Amino acid sequence: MLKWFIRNEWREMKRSSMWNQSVAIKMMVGFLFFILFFEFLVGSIYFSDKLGEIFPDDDPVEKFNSFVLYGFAMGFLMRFFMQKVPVLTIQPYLHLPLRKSLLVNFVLGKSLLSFFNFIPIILFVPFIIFQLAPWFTGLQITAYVFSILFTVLSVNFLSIYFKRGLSTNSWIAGVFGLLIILLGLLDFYKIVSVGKFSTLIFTSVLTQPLMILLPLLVLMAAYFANYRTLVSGLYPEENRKAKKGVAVHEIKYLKQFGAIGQLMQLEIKLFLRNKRPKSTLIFIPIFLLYGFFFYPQKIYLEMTGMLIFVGLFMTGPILMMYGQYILSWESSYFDGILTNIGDFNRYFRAKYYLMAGTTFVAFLVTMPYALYGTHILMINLACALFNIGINPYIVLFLSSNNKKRLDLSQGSAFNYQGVSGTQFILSIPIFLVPLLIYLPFWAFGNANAGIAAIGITGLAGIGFNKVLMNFVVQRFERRKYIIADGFRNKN
Amino acid sequence: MIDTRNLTKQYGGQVVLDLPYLLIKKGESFGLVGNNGAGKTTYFRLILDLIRATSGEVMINNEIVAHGENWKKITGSFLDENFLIDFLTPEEYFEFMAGVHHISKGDLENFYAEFETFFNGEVLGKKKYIRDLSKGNQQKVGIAAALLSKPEILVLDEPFNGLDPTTQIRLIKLLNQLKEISGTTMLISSHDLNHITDVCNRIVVLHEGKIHKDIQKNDNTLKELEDYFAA
Repeated sequence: MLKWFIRNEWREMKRSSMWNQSVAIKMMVGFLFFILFFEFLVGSIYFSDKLGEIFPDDDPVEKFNSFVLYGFAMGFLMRFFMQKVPVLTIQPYLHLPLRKSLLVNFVLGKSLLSFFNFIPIILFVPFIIFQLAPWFTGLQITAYVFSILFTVLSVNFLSIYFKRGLSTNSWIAGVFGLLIILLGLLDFYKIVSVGKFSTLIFTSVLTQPLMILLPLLVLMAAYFANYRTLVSGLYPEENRKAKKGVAVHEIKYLKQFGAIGQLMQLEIKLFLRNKRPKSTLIFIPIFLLYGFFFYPQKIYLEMTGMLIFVGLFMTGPILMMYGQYILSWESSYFDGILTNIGDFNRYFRAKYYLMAGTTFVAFLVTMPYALYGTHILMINLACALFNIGINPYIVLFLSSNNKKRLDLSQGSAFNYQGVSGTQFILSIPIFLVPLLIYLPFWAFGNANAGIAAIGITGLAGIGFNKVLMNFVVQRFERRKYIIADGFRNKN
Repeated sequence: MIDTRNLTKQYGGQVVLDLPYLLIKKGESFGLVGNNGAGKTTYFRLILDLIRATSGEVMINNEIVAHGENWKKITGSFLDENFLIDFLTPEEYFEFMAGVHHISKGDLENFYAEFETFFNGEVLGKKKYIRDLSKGNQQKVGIAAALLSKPEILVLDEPFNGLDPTTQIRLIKLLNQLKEISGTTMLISSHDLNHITDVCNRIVVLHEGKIHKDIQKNDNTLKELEDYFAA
């Protein structure tokens, strides 16, 4: 039986939509993962090797161990958000003559394949090689390895247990996150020391190998807690999120804009009520805080080209995240749009106002960066104008290239379903055009004129909005059959 | 009213629909039957300008559907779940459709009242998104939304599929009323020969993209169709 389970899992993985991509995208994604992995590994090796130099006052092993508990807490939080509870995958087996205990053990065993369980390898192996191997015996190191392994698996099963129990109120995860930050702060101000506690547990394993019994006990407890609740509750409906009555909110303000307001309202609801778009929203703060990576450093403050890039990025979070999948967002009901909407000019204008409006708001929010220099304010203003006058039309024009159905019910992290070349191509003109406008002025030594030129181009775009919108609509009318055909294809 | 001329549709060189001439008159109730792959949905999609014809055209009120948008104002349609905005509640969806078709609040209220029996208390006021409704209730939402604007032309693809027996009977009654009172031109496809003969006065059998029969309904029609498909 187990053979069949494994065979089916393998088939499922091989046939998942993730692999169903063009070669170019597979390579792109593969490259991305490789870079991430590589950076992680190099960082980990560097850190392990230089521990003694980074913290000259502390014992490197104790210092490292003081972070371990925090690491696991973070891991727990990340799993809580991203790791799937694998219960539903056994639904097709439930009616078959199989022992429940077999199914439950299979479900729990499957969770071990989660990639979160493999991250610690990158983090711990260099530490063990550089800091433990030269000074400790084989037995001590073996005990340490197993205690870490047991803890990783404990976190794995604990997170499943809690996620299953609390799947309806994810705010608990937020509370947990705040708790970690709070404990970190208390640690920093030397009020409570979680770090010391962490050191105590994991360093003691090295001196007293029997201490591995502690994580082993936690692991067994976590496994059996899961096992018990699953055996008694192996009903798919109990493992789904409980559906409560939904609260319906209307944005009254938009109603006064008639049909356009209504279309905007629809897009906003689309964003708030579907998992995929909703989970992109957590990136907004990253966009807005982007300035903090650059502005505090003198070198960047003199690189105006770089600042233009930052400005475009910060004033256009919705433009970029929402813009890259315009039309695709609506793929599940696109035939309804085509048969009911008679005026596509209006349809696209609704999308334009969403992008332009949010850019304006983002500009207001990022105004305090002016504290780093008034020229930053000027650059961001020029970028905002460009993100209002020109870039939305580029986005809308290219949106007619989107023809892949987007499954809105899955989260966006590491989700490459519905991704095509369009999304990669899109970012090129958005960033490149403003820089190209700026470049000749900069070459002739007048950077400020270049910035002004970007802003003026944006204003011109606003002035010629009717013409630009016509280009968008005409291209859409030409390509609508191809788009609709692609969207019907569920793959 | 709906004028089909030299219409063909090919996929990869294979002809899936070939209609040299088909005229559907105003007020006609037009039923389309045929086995899977006969071209029913393809034809409806061509009428609604959802796919591009390989050759020929469909005209609604002398307007080629691929070149104009006016026909959309008088046409109500529901083919499949690709028409439903499933993250809205039914009420929100109807409001959205009312907005698109410029229908007043009062008319929307009347619409709710008219469809109360059809919904059978399972659609409105449930505080559920459409995606959380059962397939049958989603189907009800789609059919009702197609009728919301009181269209002159109604296009439904297999509307009886997934409906419970009570609703099937109510839908037949509703469609017959529309035909007699409002004179709505109807295009309906179905796999159920009983239903289609209950509702439609003209029945066309499609087979491999071509018209095999074009019958004005009489007492023998059901028998004739059954014999055709049994053979």
